[in-house]
Amino acid sequence: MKTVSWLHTADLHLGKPMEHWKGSKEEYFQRKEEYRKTFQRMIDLVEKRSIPFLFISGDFLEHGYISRSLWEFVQEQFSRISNTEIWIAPGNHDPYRSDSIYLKEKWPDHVHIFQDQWETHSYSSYDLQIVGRGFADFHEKNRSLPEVKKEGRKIMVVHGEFSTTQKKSDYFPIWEEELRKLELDYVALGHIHQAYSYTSNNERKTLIRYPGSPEALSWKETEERTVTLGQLDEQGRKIDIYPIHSKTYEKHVVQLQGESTKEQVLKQIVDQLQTSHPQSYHLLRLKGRIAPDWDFEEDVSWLIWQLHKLGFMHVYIEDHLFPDFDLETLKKKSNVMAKFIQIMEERMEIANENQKKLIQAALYKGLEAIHAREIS
Amino acid sequence: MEINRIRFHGFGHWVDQEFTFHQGINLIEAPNESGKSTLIQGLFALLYGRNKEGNYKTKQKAIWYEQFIPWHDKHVYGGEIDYQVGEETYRLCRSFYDDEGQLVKRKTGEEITASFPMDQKKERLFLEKQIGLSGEMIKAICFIHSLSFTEQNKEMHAKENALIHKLTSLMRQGDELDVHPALQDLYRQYRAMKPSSTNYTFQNIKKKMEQLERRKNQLGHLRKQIEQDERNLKKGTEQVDQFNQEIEALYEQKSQLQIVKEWEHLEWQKQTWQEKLARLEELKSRKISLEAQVRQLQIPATVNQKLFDEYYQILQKNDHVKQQLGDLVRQIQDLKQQVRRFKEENHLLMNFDRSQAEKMVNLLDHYQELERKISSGEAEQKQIQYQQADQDIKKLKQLIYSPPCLKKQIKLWLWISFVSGIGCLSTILFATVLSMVMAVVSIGSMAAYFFQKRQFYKMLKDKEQEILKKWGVESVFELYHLQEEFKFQIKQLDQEAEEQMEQIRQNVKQWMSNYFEQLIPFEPEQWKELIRTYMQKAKEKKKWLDHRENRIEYLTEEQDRIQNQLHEIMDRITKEKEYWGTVNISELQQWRKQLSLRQNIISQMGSLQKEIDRAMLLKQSEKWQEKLNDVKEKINQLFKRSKGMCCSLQGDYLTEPSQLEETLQRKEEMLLKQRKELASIRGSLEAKYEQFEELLDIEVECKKYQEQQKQFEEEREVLQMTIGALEEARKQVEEDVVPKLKPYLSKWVHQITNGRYQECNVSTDQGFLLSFFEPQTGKSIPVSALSRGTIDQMYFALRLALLQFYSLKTKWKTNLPLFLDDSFVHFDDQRLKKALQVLKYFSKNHQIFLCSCQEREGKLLKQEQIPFKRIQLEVS
Repeated sequence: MKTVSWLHTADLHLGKPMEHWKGSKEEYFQRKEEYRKTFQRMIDLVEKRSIPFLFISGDFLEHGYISRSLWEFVQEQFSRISNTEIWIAPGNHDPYRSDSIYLKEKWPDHVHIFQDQWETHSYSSYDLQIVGRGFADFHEKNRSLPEVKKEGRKIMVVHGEFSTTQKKSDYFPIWEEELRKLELDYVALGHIHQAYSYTSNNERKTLIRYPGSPEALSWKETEERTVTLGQLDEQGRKIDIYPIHSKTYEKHVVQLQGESTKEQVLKQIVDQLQTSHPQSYHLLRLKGRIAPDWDFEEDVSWLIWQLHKLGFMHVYIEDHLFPDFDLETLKKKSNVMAKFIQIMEERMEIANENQKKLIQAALYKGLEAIHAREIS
Repeated sequence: MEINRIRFHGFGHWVDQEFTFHQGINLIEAPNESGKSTLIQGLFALLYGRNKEGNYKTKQKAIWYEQFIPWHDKHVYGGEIDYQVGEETYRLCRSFYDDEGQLVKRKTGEEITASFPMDQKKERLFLEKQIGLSGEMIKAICFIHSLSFTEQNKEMHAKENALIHKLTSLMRQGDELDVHPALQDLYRQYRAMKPSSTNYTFQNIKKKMEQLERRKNQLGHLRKQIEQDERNLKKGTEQVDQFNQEIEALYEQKSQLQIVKEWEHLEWQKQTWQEKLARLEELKSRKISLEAQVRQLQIPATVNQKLFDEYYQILQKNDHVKQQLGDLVRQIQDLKQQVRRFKEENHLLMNFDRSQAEKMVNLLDHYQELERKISSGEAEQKQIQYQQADQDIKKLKQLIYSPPCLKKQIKLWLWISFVSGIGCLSTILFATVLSMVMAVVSIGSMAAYFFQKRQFYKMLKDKEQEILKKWGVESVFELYHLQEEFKFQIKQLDQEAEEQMEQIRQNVKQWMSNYFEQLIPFEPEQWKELIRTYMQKAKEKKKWLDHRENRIEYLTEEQDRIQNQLHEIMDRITKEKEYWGTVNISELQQWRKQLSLRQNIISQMGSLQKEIDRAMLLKQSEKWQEKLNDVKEKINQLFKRSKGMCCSLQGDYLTEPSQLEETLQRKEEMLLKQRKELASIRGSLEAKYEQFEELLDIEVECKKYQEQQKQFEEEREVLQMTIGALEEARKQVEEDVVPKLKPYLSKWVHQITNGRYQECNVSTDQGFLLSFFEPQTGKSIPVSALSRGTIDQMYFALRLALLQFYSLKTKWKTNLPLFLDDSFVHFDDQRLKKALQVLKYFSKNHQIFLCSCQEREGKLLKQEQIPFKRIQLEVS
C-alpha cells in the first residue's frame, strides 16, 4: 500500500485587497507579489517532493477580486504539478456559486473542487478516502457530517469553524464530539488564520488541523506563516510544519518614558527591534508622553529613514503619544484651566470608549493651545 | 505666611549668604545687577525646588536651573529657608545639585520630610501641600513686576491695551492666564477645518473620495460586464465548437457524396456502353428475324396493287349498296303502315269542314254582341237620359212658376233707406245737417237695393237657359217631347235581341252534335273555344299525315335509284370475278394485309440496316468496348479506394451537393462571424481585465481616504469640543470669581484713588466690560476710558485684591507675601506716595518685599513715616 503524503494549506485569500496596508502604493504592489510568491513556493515544494495530494481548505481565491492575471498565474502553477491531485473545499470567501471562479472557468482534470454536499472520493492504490464539501454561499449555519466507511485511510477537507464545545457559528460549525465518531485520520480545516491542532480522543486519534494563513493578511497575524505537510504510512501519521511565508509581520509597542529628543526615541526603538528580523514588516506603535511642544510628526520620517539605514526596510509608525501635561498641577495653575480640565474629566467619566478618546484629544488640544500661547 | 530667613549655600553669586526678613515692609534697595532678582529667584527656588512645574508630567529642570549654578562648586547649589505657616515655623533645606529637600519644624527640630510622600514625578511638594497653591500660582499671584505702561514710547498704546486686557483677565478669571488668544487660535483652526469649498484638505479628501467612489462604481459595472463577456465568450466558444463539428460532418458528407457521385457516374457510363453494345446486337437480331418473316409470307406474286384495290372497293360498295336498299324498303313499309293506322283512328277529323266551323264561330260572336247590347248597352243609357230629362223639367218649372225670394242683405238696404228717410224727415226741422246726411244715406241705400235686385233676376234667367241648352231644346215643351221619345226606344230594343239569340243557339248546337258526342251547357265563349280547339287539332293531324305521305314518296324514289346502282355494280362484279376467281372479301383482305406487312418489313429492314451501319461506325470510332472495359476497371479501383463504402451509400439519402455546398458555406460564414465576435469579445475582455486589475485595489485606497475623512471629522469634532469646553470653563470661572473679587477691588480702588473712584462694576452684556463708579460725576467710567496712570493704579489695586482673594483660598487662610520688583519705577511721586500708603495698610496682614533700584521708595517711606526694614544686599 502506497504512502499517502499531502500538503495542507488554507486561507490564502489571493486577490483580496489589503485593507490593512499602511505603506506606499509601490510597497502595496510588492506585497501583492509576495502573496503570489508564497503560493508559488508552495507549488515548488509539492513539485520538488512529488507530493501526491494538495489540500486547500477554502478561502483560496477571494470572490469578486480574481483578476485575469491571477487566474492565469494559478493555472500556470497548477499545471506544474499535474501529477498531484488537488482538492479544494470552497470557503466563505470563495463559495461555490454560479458566479464563482470555480464554475465560471474550466479547471484542469487533476484539480477537484468540492461542491456544497459531502462527497467521498477513493484512491484504492492508497487505500484512501477523501471526503469534503464546500460553501455554497457566504454563510453556512447548519452543521452536517458525511457518512464514511470504517475501513481504510480517511482524510476530510473542509472549511469551517471547529469547536470543542457546542458553539454555534455562521461559518459551518464543526463540533469535535460529532467529528470524532467518524474516526478520520486527518481533518484538513480552513477558516482560522492562526495555525492550530487538536487531537481527538478516539481510536485513531484524529488530528484536526488549521494550517493558518500561509502569508499574513493583517497585523494580527504576526508569527511565522506555515503550511502543513502530512504523511500516512505503515508506521502511522506524521505531521510537519513548514514555514512558507515571504515576509512576516511584527508589531511592536514602544513605550516612551521621558525621551525628549528624536535620537532618544530612535534608541528606544532600536533597542526594541534588536531581536526582530529586519526583512519583516514592522509596525511600531509609539505610546507614552512627550513634551507638549514637541511636534513629533515631523520626526517620524526621520526615524523611518534612520531605521532604513539600519536595514529595517518596511517600518510603519503609529503615533499614540500624548502630550506630557500634568493635569493636577495645571489645575492649580489657573482657574480656567482647572475648570476646563474638570469639565473634560467629568465628561470622560460618562462617555463611552470612542467618546473618551475624542474628549481626551479635546482636552489635550485645549491645553496645547494654551501652552503654545504661553510659550509665545 | 511669613518668610523669616534665607541662607544660600550657593545660588548664583550668593554663596554662603544669609538674609533675614521681617513682618511688614522689607525694602530691598540696591542698584541694578546687585542681586535683587537673584535673591527673589533663590527665595522661590528654595520654597518650591529646582524642577519645572506645571505642564509636564515627567520631571524636568526649571529654566533658571543652569543660570544659577555656583561657578566655583556646583555641589553647594542650594540653601535653606525659614518660614512660618499658621503658628508653625519650618526650615526647608534644599540641594539643587542632587534635587533633595529636607523639612524640619523649627520649634522641635523634628524632621517632617517623610510626612510629604513623593508624587509620580518624585516631588514632595512641601509648600504646595502646606498652603494648597503651586509655585507657579504663588508667583502669578504674589509677584508684581514693573508696571510699565506709563512709559512714554511708541509701543505705549499697545502696552496700555495689554494691561487693560490683563486687568480684565484678572477680574474675569482671578489669574493672568489669558485663554483668549488660545481660543482665537482654536477658532481659527476650527474655521480652517470647516468643510467648505475653500478648505483644500477637506475638498481634496472629498474630491478623492468622489473619484474613488466613481471608480468603485466602475469596478462594479466592469465586473458585471466581464461576467457578461465571459458568459458570451463561453457561449460563443461552445458555438464555435459546434460549428466546427458540424462543418467537419459536412465535409465528411461532402467527401462521401463525391464518392457516391463518382460511383454513380461510372455506373452510368458502364451502363451506357453496355446499352449501346446491346442495342447493336439487338438490331442485328431484329434484322435476321424480319428476313425470316418475309420469307414466311404467302401472297400472289403477280398482283397488281391498283387493280386489286379497285376490285376490292367494288366488292365493298356492293355490300354497302345492298345494305342501303334493304334499309329503304324497311322504312317505306313502316311508314305506309303508320299512315293506314292513322287514317283509321282519325276518320272524323279527316272529314272535318273547316269553313262550316268558322261560320259557327261567327254566329256565336253575333250572339255575344246581342247579349252585350241587352245586358249593358243602350236601353239602360236611354233610361238614365229619360230620368235626367225629368229632373231638368222639374227645375225649369220651379224657376218659372215659383222663383226664390230676395236675400236678406238686399232687403237690409231697403230697410236702411227707409229708416234714414224717416230720420231725415224727423230731423229736417231742428237738425238740418243731420237730416241732409241721413237723406244722402237713404238715397244711397235705395240705389244699392235696386242694383242688387236687378242682378238677382239676371242670375235666375241664366240658369234656365243653361238647362235648355244642355238638352238642345228651346223650351220646356220640347224637353217634354224628348223625354217621351226616350221611353219608346227603351221598349223596342229588348224584344228583337231575344229572338235572334235563340235562333243562333239552335243552329250552332245542331252543327256541333256531328262532332261532339256530349256537349257542355251553352256558353258562347266556351263553345267558341271548343270549336277552335277542334279546328286546331284537325289541322295538326292533317299536317302529320301530309308529312308521312311525302316521306313515303321520297323514299320510293330513292329505292328506285339505288336499285339501278346495284344493277350496275352487279354487272361489274360479274365481269371481274372471272379475273380474280373469288368474290370473298375476307380472303382479299388477308391478301391485302400480307402485302402491306411485307412492304412494311422490307422498309423496316432497310431502316435497320442503316441503323446497324451507323452503330457499327460509332462502335469503331468511339471504341465502345474499350471504354466499357476502362469504366469497369475504374469501378473496381473506386470500390477498393472507398473500402466498399461506395456500394453501401445511397445517393438518394445524401443531401444534394448544391444544398450541401450551400449549408457548408453558410456554416463556414457563421463560424467566421462567430470567431470574429469571439476575437472581439476576447479583445474587449483583455482590456477590461487590465482595467479591472487597476481598479481592484480601489477599496484599499478608498478605505485610506475614508480614514482620512474620519480623522478630519474627528479633529473638527475635537476642536469644537475643545472650544466649547474652554468657553464653558471661562464662563463658569467668571461667574465664580467676579462676585467674590469685586468687594476687595472696590476697597483698594477707593483707597488708592483717594475716593475718586469707589465701586467696581462688571457688565457682561457686550463681552466683559469693567468700569469704575465716579461719585463726583455719578457715572461709571469704563476701564478703557481711564487715564494711563489711573489704569496703573487700578491694576495695582486688583493685584492686592487678588492676593487677599487667594490668601483666603489657601489651606490655612494664610496671608500670602507680596513681592514688588521695581514695580513703581514709572510711578510719579504722587502716585508712589499713595501706593506706599496703601502698602502700609496692606502690610498689616501681609509681608511685603519691596525691591527697588532707586532710593525714591526709601525716602518716601521715611517721609510718610511708614514703618519698614531695609535689607542690605552686600556680599559677605
